[in-house]
Amino acid sequence: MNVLEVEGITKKFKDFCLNDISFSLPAGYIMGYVGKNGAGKTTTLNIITGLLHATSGTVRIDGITIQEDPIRYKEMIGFIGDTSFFPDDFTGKEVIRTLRDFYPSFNEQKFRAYMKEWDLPENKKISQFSKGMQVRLMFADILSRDTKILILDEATNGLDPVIKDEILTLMQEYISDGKRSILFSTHILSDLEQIADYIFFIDEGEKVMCESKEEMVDSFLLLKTGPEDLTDELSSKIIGLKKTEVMAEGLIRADDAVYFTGNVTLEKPSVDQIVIHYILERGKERVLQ
Amino acid sequence: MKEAVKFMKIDYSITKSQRKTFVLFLVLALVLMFINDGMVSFTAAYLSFGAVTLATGPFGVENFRNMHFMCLLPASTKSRVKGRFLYALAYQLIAFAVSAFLGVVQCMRYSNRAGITDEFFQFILLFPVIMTGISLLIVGFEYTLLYAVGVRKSAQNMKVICMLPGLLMFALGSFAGEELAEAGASVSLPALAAISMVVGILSLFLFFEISVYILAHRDSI
Repeated sequence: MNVLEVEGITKKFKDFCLNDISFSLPAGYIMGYVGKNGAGKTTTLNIITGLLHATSGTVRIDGITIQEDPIRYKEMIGFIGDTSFFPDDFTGKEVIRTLRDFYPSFNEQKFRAYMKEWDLPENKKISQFSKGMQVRLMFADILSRDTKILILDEATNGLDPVIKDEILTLMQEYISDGKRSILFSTHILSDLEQIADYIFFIDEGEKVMCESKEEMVDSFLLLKTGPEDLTDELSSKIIGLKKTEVMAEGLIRADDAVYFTGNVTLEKPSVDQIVIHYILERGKERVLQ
Repeated sequence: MKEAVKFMKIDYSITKSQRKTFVLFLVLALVLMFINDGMVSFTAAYLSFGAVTLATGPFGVENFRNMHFMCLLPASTKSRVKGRFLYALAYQLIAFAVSAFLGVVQCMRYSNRAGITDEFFQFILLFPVIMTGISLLIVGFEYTLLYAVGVRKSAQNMKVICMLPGLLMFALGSFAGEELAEAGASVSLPALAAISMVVGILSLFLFFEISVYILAHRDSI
């Protein structure tokens, strides 16, 4: 059962186009939505959360679109951005009142318990909370009501390692019942290495790849060699080749490893390295065009 | 309607700092009333200006985060817009209530003065009704314009849209008040008041529907 289904969404702006993005996210899994700044990550999430209208395509959460049932659709979404989305002048009390008003499944006792556990004051304005406190408040919101999908947009940016670790643990707890999923958009890929099951890589508004993290990492090898060891033919098999006077580094498909013998080092790449080299390669292709 | 009231409560919460400004408006209205020898027309125009301008408060504090928060709440676009229109209506009703009360006070003060005609008392009591009708029309138009322009796209334009109609109301209201007061029996004030309220209420409903259409078909950021 897919919690999230995105089919052919396109969004046209004056100087950017999100082009035919499709993916699905099964229940109980975490998908990392990755790309460089300006790739289209936030645009995609804004379409999924209903902030933007797609030019074409559909988004379904638990089988329903926002047009079919906007209330049920939005009830299923938990969202955490890089800053608190509660109004600046709100206090914890006003957050409680609003959540109680709008979400039938909101458990006020649970929310207050989280606030107590994380030392979040009820009478202080949210604008005066630290970043870590703001993120914890948003988590308290999501964990205190029934949601199907948690969407994080650069939520771990600027957090200290302790809070970041706490959040990654909370995310794993969130999906532990096997019924909920997480879509985690970030350009800090080291966070995803630990927890993501799937990776969707977007660049310049287009899908570059979408597969399980294990398959993605197993499909490639990171090659390091001396620049003098590379022929033109070998160079053409390398994705995102970076050359200095003393070293050449790039990504190759695992199947192409047979072509690289001699003075080379082949190692398993991180998601970070795959994304970087692909972005480099795509940049070169654009220059050639 | 329940959802709309919830959104109105949010708008009320995010415009906390405005409440002090509104209380100041009310106090100044009383002061102006006594300075102007109790001319309620001037005070009613002034209160309408305050109500129309302050009603745009929620748009003034909107930012990306607030917008995202409001859009994510599980409710329809119609409820969101209705809540905001209710917020505007609340200000107009408060302005009307205060103007009407001051009108009654003025009537009581003038009741024993010689040379005061029935038309004058009629004017004192009905002018706030006329101003309220006009302010409903203006605030509805203002809101629709703000939804169409999109606050985040042009903060400068937003400031003009928020201030100009209110100032216009004040100027026209003061002018109209003097003219109507002098017109006496030659103008049917009850008819004018009734027309003003009907037009005001109908236009508010019309602008509400247009605003819902605009917001439903427009990106929220």
